[in-house]
Amino acid sequence: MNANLIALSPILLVVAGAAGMLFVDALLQKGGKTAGSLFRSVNSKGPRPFDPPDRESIPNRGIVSASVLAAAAVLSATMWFGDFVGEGVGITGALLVDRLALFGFMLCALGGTLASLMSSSYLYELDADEGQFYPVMMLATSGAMLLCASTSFVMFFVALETLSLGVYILTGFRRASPLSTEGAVKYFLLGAFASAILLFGIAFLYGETGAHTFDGVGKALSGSASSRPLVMLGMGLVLVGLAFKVSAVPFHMWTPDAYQGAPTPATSYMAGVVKVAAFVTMMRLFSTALMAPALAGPPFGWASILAILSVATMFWGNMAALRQKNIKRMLAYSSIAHAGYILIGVVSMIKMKEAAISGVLYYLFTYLAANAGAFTIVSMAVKDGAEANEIEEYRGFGRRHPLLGAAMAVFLLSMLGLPPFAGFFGKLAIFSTAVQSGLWLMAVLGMIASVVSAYYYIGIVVVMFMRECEEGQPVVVPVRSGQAIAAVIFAFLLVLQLGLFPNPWLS
Amino acid sequence: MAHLLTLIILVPLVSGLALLFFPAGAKRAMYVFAMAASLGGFFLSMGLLGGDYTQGQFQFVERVSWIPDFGISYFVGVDGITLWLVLLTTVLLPIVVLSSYEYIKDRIREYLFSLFLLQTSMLGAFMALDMFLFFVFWELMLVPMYLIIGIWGGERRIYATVKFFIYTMVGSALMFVAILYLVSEFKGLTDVTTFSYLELRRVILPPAVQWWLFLAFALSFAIKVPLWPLHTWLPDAHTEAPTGGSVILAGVLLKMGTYGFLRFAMPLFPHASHELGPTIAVLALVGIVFGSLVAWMQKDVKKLVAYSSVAHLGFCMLGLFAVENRALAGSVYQMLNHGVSTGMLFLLVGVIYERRHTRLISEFGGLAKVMPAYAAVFVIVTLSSVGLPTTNGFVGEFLILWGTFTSKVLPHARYMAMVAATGVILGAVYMLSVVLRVFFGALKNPRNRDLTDLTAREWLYLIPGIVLIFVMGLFPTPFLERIEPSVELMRMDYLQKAEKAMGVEQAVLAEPLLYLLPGDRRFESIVAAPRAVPLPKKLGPAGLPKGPRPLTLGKRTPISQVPPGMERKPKQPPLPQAVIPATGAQGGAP
Repeated sequence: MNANLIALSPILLVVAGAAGMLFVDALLQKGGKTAGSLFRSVNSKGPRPFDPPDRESIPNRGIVSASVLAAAAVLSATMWFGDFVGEGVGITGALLVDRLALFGFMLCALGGTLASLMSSSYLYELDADEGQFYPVMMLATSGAMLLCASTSFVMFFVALETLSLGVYILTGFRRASPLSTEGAVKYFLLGAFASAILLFGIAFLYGETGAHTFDGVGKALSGSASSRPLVMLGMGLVLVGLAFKVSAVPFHMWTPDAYQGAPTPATSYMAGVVKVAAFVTMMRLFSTALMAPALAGPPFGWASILAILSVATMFWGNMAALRQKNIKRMLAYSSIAHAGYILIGVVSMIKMKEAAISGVLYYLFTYLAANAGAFTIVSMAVKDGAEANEIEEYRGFGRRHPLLGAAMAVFLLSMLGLPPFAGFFGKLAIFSTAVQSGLWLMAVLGMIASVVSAYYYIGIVVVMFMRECEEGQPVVVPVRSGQAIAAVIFAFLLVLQLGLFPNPWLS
Repeated sequence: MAHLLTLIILVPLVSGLALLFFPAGAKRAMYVFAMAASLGGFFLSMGLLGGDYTQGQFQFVERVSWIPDFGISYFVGVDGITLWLVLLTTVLLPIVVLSSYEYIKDRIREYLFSLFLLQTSMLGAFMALDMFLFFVFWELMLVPMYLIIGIWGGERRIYATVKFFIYTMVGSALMFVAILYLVSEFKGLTDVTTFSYLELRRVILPPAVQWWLFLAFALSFAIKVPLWPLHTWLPDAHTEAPTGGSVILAGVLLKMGTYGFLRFAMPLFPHASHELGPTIAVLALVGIVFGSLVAWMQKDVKKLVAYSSVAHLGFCMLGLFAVENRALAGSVYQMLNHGVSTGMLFLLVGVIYERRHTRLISEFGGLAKVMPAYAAVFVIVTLSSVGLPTTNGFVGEFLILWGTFTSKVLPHARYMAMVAATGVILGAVYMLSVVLRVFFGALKNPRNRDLTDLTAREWLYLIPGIVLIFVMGLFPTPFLERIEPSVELMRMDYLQKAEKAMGVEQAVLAEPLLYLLPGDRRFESIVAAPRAVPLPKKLGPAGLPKGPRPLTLGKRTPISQVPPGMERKPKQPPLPQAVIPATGAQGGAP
């Protein structure tokens, strides 16, 4: 078989899975209720603008989607561990499947798997039509995976848009909820602006260098060309576009609303997969195309800009999270803060490229696992037939459901960066690289910021374990769903494994 | 036994996990199991006494690579200092378990699990010889303690536990970066990434860097000690914690801070601790006097004991920074004493709290009439806490005061010792006044009439403490003879390195140096041979002073006074890495 096909097989698998699901869904659903009803139903139906789900097939779709994505994750992990691609398989200069890309594939597919697992029970509770949910998510995942591997600006933009469009749809999936719509519209409008800005920047870079591959741009800019104003402008615009995608302050405005409004599995997906893809591509872009000293270094290079963004992001994210009452909003701000920590790793790429990249990847992995676990539990929590999203509603949750409560506590403590859980080793990987490349001040600021985050993470633990809910009030109960439980267990094991035995991944 | 230390660390963890499988109602079975496990852990740790502590080296060393990419290993060992801290930790656990039998009403299983998890992390932190492992255990201690205070604590438990958590976390965050910095400096010198304490200890950092790193470590440890003015979390945490939590908090957790200074902050950053030592000693003195005065004013017995901890640990800190053998050994001894006697005081407060559900001194009076045995035990422990001869407290305080008085590194050492001595007097004042107000006088409060005296269970967990008080007071030698070699080794290393830093700083110490300890040969093979770059010709061996030279006492050589012929060269070519060969020939350049 062709080496290119093998290299791309995880992506092809996901795309084929999505197409197959759409197709089979269309065949199975009777009475013309096809997967295309997404657009039709909005226009034609009344107060309840979507078709009642076909309850019989509910467990199957989630399982199918999860297993396809899991297979893709396992495939990429095998290729990554087995070192199948060597120095990387380049495909027409547009894609490069190397170890970085494979790791990105694995993380994206893993995030998609966990999101699919938590979706079925959630969508069931929501009465949503999941016929479209999974294929959209899988297609978005394929976009994310392409993004991880793209090495030309054209591919980069197409992949980014594939990912973004999917995520816009997922955000607005709770069509009955104004919050969801608000979040989707905000996300879409701001996202469209960001894409435009990004494209504008790409145009400048292309105009100055005449190259559209990262490599070509890097070569053209290696000389004195790098300090030309239009190049700087182009780089700045690209940077803004990417900063929007990873929701770095001050380009984070959409995040809380979109995260809160989106269905919880989609929130988990956004917080995990979108971040992974955006960071992987950001590292690839900066480390190949824009490594020229004038572009990277002080005073106006991307490293300096990102350093400032990083500090702002960590502190703003954590400070704002302190004030949140809604758990999804709080996790949204916490994900902003995590983007800040990760940016430290990206910045230390200017000195120690390899170590910084592997540090960031490891951090993304640990963050993805803990974050998906926490969101799974949030997606399971139901009170009085509705989602329970207020932190106060979780009073006594840990007392009544000790196992789930303990798992939630572990996820939160991992995100806080407390040993021996995964997040701590992620922080270790990033901060030790930062210190070694002389950025110890950033490491200090990062640690201070993470102390701030202790307050709200353990605040949830306090609510869950140390406060009792009032008598006679309805309490939060978790929905019974084997798939969601499986997601929790899987994420939990990952968090422990990544914490206690990080070595296989690090080496 | 081959893996004694690992076994000691794992036994509590495994038993804690096993406890989770007990049915929630099986209180008796859980306690029987917990008692057996904790006693087993204690007897296991007695095996540590079989080590050879005469040379002060680490015994029972185990080392397994954990994360090779980062040079992190599971690396544990005990020396004469940690030996006793480990034993203190293991002896307190069965006592705490037994004392919790009545006090903890709900969710016993989870409570015992938290206790055992805490035990594992404390033991691990004491034994760890890998900085990373130490940090992992250090942070791990936070969670169970946080749960113990937050779930089983008193009225204001949530405030107290969040405060405890945040305070401790603030300190350790900066320490983490400092550890990473140290490791990266070591890597710059040797091209080896390692978190091993024994290897990192050989780096002499430039003074300015030492200052910052020392401050980062010191903040973390000083919060834990707690050193005035960072003590404010302590009274809250102690007051709200359940009895068992208070005992462990006072008995062991606070020692983490003093131990951290002794083991890590001082040997790693000798120059900075030499410079900052007097300041810390003054803070310790303030803590002694302030803690005593505030304790005197307390209405709540438990708060009083909590503030007395601030004072007692002030003594420990003073002893550490006097850097005299006696003071250091006394300081370690005082850590143990404080663990025993303050632990006992918290247990005794718990006894009365279980009966009356109040701890206000004004509620009591004349208790000696209804609870004579309780009163007798309380008086014994009080005397130990006050430091009366024949009790353990006397030995520790005496050694600290003596060592401080003769200290060569503290300015005005005699006055410092005098101020500290007032702390002893104040200690007697507040402790005896509380005894007076609680146990003697008229039995005014009618609710105290029918109090029962100590039960068999209470006797059982109080007796070991009483025995220890007298054994440690009358026969301190077995303890001290194991502590002293380690302390001596640490002091020599510390002074030599401090001196080396000062001797070298004028010449080349803008960059870190690597320095092999004479006693460290055992571990040389672990590190790849450091690159021995000869000193620049101009400097010659004179750049490093030959042989031991007594420290300039009191008046230290200012950095600006450069001896003739040793002016700092322009920094080209880059940095000489002076490596003193381990053969003991301290010449430096080959």
